[in-house]
Amino acid sequence: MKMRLMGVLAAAAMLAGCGDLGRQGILLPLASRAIPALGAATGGGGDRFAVASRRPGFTPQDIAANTGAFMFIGIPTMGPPVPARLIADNAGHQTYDVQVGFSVSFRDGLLVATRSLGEDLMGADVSQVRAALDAGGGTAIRRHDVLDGMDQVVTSTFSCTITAQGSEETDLGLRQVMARKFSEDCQGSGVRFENLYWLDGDGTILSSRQYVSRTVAYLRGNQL
Amino acid sequence: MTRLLTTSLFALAAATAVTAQDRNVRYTLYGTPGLIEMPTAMSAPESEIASQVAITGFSHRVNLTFQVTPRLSGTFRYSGVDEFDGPGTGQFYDRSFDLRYRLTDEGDWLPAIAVGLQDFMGTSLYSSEYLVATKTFGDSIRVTAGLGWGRLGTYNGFDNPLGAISPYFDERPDDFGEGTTGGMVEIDRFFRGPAAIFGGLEYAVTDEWLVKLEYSSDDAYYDRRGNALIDRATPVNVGLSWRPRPGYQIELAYLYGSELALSGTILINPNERPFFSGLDSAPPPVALRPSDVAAAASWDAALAARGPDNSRIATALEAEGIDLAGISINGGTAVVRYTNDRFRTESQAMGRVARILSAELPVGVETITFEPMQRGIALSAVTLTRSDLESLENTSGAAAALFAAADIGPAGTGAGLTPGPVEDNPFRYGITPYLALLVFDGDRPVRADYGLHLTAEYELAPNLLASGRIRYSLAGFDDPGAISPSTLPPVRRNIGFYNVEGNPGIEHLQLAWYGRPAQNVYSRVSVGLLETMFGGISAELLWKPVDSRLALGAEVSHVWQREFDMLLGFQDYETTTAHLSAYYDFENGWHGQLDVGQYLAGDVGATVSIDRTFENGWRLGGYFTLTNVDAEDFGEGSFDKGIRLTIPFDYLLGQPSRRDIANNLASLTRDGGARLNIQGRLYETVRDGHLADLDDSWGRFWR
Repeated sequence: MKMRLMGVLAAAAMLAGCGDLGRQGILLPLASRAIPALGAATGGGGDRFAVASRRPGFTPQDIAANTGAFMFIGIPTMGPPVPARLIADNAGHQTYDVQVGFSVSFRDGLLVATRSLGEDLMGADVSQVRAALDAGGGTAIRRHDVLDGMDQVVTSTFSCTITAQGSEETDLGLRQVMARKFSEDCQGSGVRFENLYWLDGDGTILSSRQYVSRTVAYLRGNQL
Repeated sequence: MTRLLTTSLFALAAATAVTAQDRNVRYTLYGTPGLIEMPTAMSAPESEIASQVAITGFSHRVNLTFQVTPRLSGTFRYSGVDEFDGPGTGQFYDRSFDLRYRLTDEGDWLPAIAVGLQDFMGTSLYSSEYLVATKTFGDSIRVTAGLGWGRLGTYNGFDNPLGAISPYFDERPDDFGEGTTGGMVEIDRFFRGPAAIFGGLEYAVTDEWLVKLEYSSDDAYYDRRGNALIDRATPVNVGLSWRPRPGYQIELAYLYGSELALSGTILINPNERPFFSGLDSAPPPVALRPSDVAAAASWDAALAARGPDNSRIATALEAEGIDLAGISINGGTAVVRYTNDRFRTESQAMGRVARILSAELPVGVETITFEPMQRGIALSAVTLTRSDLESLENTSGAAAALFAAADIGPAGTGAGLTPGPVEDNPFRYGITPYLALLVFDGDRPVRADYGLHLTAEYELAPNLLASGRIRYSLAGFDDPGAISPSTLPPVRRNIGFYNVEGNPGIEHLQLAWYGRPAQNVYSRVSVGLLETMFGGISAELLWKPVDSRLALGAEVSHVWQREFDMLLGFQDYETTTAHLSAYYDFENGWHGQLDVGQYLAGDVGATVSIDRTFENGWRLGGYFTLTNVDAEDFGEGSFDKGIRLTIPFDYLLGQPSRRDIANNLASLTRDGGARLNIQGRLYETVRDGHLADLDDSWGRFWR
């Protein structure tokens, strides 16, 4: 376990070490080294990565060729962040295929769905959260759908408070940026969670930690 | 793999989350919620299934309890008592059923009160009735007191208080007479004869450990001749119950000052699926059509450039375990027919087809009609608009909104469909291990059969299927078991000979032809070795409108009894068996079936079945058959009855599958009321694609 974590840290450090976006001349060799390193450094537990990294569309070349179409996605309860590839972009409603075999969907950067995580977020209404972020803070109601053990949709409603936390430097893996940080405290249906967002000047969510469901807990994601 | 493991661990941990009620309801040595031998008024969580093995020095019991509703529970019990028929006679085996109904909820001051019938229709070895009250004090103490009749009125009994109402209650008819066949509901004994008080205390030391103390009013551990089975020194029993996790309970008890007892109970609840919505692969996302004219033109040009055939769609569907039968595009409407070989629900398969088509249909197609098929017959037509698919994906309330907008009706004729590519290989086969429990087989109540199944299927046409299965048992049966004599033709009781001589044997080998002769009518004709013990020809018709909760069916078969070697030969016995059936899907998760007709032994009668069906595919139900065979000719049990349980694979594995584990837990292999076990009957084939089942499972459309 420790070995795997170190491997990930090493890889993340290598990826983080390369500066400007778009300078593929530097990116490609770095990414090439970094991604096999994930597999090599993790021993037996790295098999998943070795297999996953052979999935078409996730090679270092693919990532370097179009960094805008990739994110890093991780579920802390399940393992380290891995690349995720954009597979649908429907007017701000984006779905990513995560290298290890699940998918996540965002609407304007806010998580609205997961698939193949077990207790999936089947759909969400997050429009008020987006409005509050755009307004620099405020309150919002969000609605989350999950499927229960009987295949019935259960909708939970959460009352949330979005608060600006100032600006801070955040690490996107391939670059460090100054970003505006927001926290979102939500409560409802017997659950309390805190989402975190790092936004650029345009309001684009560069990095986030967002609640999925009780058993999956949080999903971390950042643009490259 | 790691992800799957991690997820499953998380999922299991969550699925078995402790609730106060769950923690505190423990099970008796009779497998019922309660003390050690005495019942309490508590109920298990709704739908909980508790399976238990309880062993004492003089008996063993296998118990299965189902919490049918929040108040009603039922228990099936199979017990063996040492030397019940006297010294040297070995085990006496007995089946029994209990029912308990909780009359009141526990309040701040008032206790929960329940009334129960124990062993009310077996051979009545444990026959008793009770009224019991239970009250919880604080977090950890629970006190129970009750009044028992029958077996529970045998220690320190007194005149029946109900005698004040009528002298009818003063005397109880004999509970257990030699030579009775049992199996009848013994209403004339209920709450009659002497009554006695019982009670007890439970103290939860920790969440896991619980101590029980009870005062038992049962002084009926005697053999048939009246000799004591145990040395009963005291009416007080003590027990220690351990539930390290909510899924199981282990209990040690000391009974009547002389006997040790040990029980293990496994708890499972269909409501609590370990993998939640499952680990099924993520679906492809819906593709949004471009809104501007130029982009739309380029979309259509790209589609046109891919060629006119359906191979792209077929390939994409195949990756989802779905076989494309045909597709037509007519102006703004597309119709697609397909067979789902992977997903338990047609709803989920339809969601996959919808997403794939969203990327593969011309921009101008706004309406899509989905026609799911099974065994070559189209089951229904579900029409959705493409705009709804595009706008609702990943929104809250998407499933309900889409279902409200869906138009669900009978499938079309299939005319005008361009067929999908012909399946490369219509031959499928597989070798799988099997494990089966043979229960209630004469003097050996439970035997495990295990070995290998070689299954093969050849699709001559989508609706014409040849299929067969060879069984090779590794269990090494050399004894057909005890076969009690009967005046009926031996249509079922010789099953032991098939197990001994038919190894390896052909379980079934048949050709089945399916059709849909009218809009709401389905047909099947099967020829060959239809099941383990019979072969011949069988024809079935089913009337089942898509939106109807009622279905009517008719089945006629002419069959010959197969040789014990389970090869191709037949014995002399031949018969015609025919039934008219009515099926009704109640809206609240209950499903009823009535079959009336002539059975394999030539007896005439009816079978009534009632099943609790869960939206996630679980089923638990019971049935009984009454025919013109009287109880004496039928033999032990008096008439055919049983309980059955179906657990879907996807519940257990978290991966999509159309398979399930079905088990008939209580049927006696006797000759009265016996029906053919035909593969692929119409009702189960058709109902998945009809309105009620689509409605129940529609949440999976978006999964």
